[in-house]
Amino acid sequence: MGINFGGLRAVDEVNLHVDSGEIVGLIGPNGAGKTTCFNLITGVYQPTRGSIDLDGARIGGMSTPAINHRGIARTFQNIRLFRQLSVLDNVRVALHRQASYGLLGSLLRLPAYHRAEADLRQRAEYLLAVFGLAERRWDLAGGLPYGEQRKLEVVRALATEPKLLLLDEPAAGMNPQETATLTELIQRLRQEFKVTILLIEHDMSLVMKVCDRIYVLDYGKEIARGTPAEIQSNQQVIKAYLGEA
Amino acid sequence: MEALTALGSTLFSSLDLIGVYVILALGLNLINGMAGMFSIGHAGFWAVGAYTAAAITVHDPLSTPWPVTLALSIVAAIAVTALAGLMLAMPCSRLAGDYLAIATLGFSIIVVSLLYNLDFVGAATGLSTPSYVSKGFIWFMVGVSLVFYYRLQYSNLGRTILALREDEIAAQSIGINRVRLKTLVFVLGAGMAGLAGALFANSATYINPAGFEFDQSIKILTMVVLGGLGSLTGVVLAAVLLTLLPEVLRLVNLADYQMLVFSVLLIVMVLMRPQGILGRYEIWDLPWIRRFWRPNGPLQVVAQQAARARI
Repeated sequence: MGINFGGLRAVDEVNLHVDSGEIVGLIGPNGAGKTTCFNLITGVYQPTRGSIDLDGARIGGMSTPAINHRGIARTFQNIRLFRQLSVLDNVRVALHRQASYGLLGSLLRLPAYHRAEADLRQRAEYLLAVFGLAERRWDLAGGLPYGEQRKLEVVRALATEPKLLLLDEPAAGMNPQETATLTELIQRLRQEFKVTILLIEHDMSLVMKVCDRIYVLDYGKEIARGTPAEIQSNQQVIKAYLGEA
Repeated sequence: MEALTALGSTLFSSLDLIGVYVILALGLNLINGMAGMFSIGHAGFWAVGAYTAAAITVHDPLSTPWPVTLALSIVAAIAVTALAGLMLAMPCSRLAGDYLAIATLGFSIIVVSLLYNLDFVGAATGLSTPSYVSKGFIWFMVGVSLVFYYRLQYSNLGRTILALREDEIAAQSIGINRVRLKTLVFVLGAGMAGLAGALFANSATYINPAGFEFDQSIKILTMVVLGGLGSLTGVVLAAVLLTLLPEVLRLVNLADYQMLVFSVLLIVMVLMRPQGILGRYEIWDLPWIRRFWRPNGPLQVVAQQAARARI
């Protein structure tokens, strides 16, 4: 896939492939085009070249909500929670497609409404409990500490029941201890929720620990791919990160 | 004592108008407060509703007995206005901020100029309308509108509307269809204005295009902003106060200074409490009410905040 912004080739012939159940890392220096890749995959930008497929079905060119319905959810590098809504509502709103009542049901408060609302509440509570946010349910999302905001974004994305979860710098701004917890959490995500994960991250200890495979981007091009061990010893990667000796 | 009874009778005679404005303000609060769009042409929808209802009750095309005509006029007013909302929303739902405001303003001006020139609804002279509805019926419909708004906000759909207001990009990433939802909000808000229009046309003895000009849109917008964008009870409070204000001023022979009082009030509000009387809070977030009752919904959060901020 690829995209041009005016004359700039922001992402050029990047060829990502993620197998079901994998955790794949996407790394590279700042401005390499990692987040642009996420924006292409989730339909925020339309690719100018190439194709994007999910389970053999073409999703390139679809709208962001349609792509989410197909099973891709994401978090954002600069956290984008619904700040004025409660932690619980941030999760409940992400469950909106799983509510089985319509406008009339909610206006007349039919039994279906109460049943579906109880069900939504239960699902949201379960997810919050898994991520240790249950105590915070009535707090405003915007008032949470930074690390918990990042976690809540993951919960919100997960609530849409995605097959593929895109995490954009989940450990940014976390201290080493929080990062260690996050590492465990990402591994649990795969086991318990059966999601495939593609993650952008600058924290190499996390990347090397959780990723099965890694792609390295620089100036919008793929410069390396392989297992964590291969990437660690790749000369080009070291050059891209540290500059030429 | 005499002043008090005068105030009482003023309040009583204004009740139908207050009810109409409460419904109008609720409809606009749905669009501007809950969904975070910026519409400034609400009187245009009101006019569509009022004239649709009036055209039916005056011309009585089906020659039905009056209660049927009345019901017909209300249903038709809501339907036609909602349709007008749909037609305005379809090209505009991709617009935001100032552009949307200009589009809605343009819509309301078009509606009023049309009414000035349509002979079958009386053109500039307007229409004399039968007064079929009582104050009780208007306030019954106010109650229905309040329940509608409240239940909408605390439903699955309401949450998606709030999410869209908070962050469009994040909302889309969890599968919320922005265009469809904004269109729906516009249709619902317009529909409420249609109801207000029907009640107005069926309670006032006379309607004319001048009564739906731009200043009315501003008045409704002021109610929403003054009460607190997105606050259900705040907007109701502001609608009542702002409808009563001119009447009270007339009572104390200060009617000429109405605009002055209005402007000073607004300036004071903007300086002292820019978030509106209640901000995003509701009446039931006040600690002494919370002790007795609070709804099960996102408001519990707001209540917590309110407790911290000690409003």
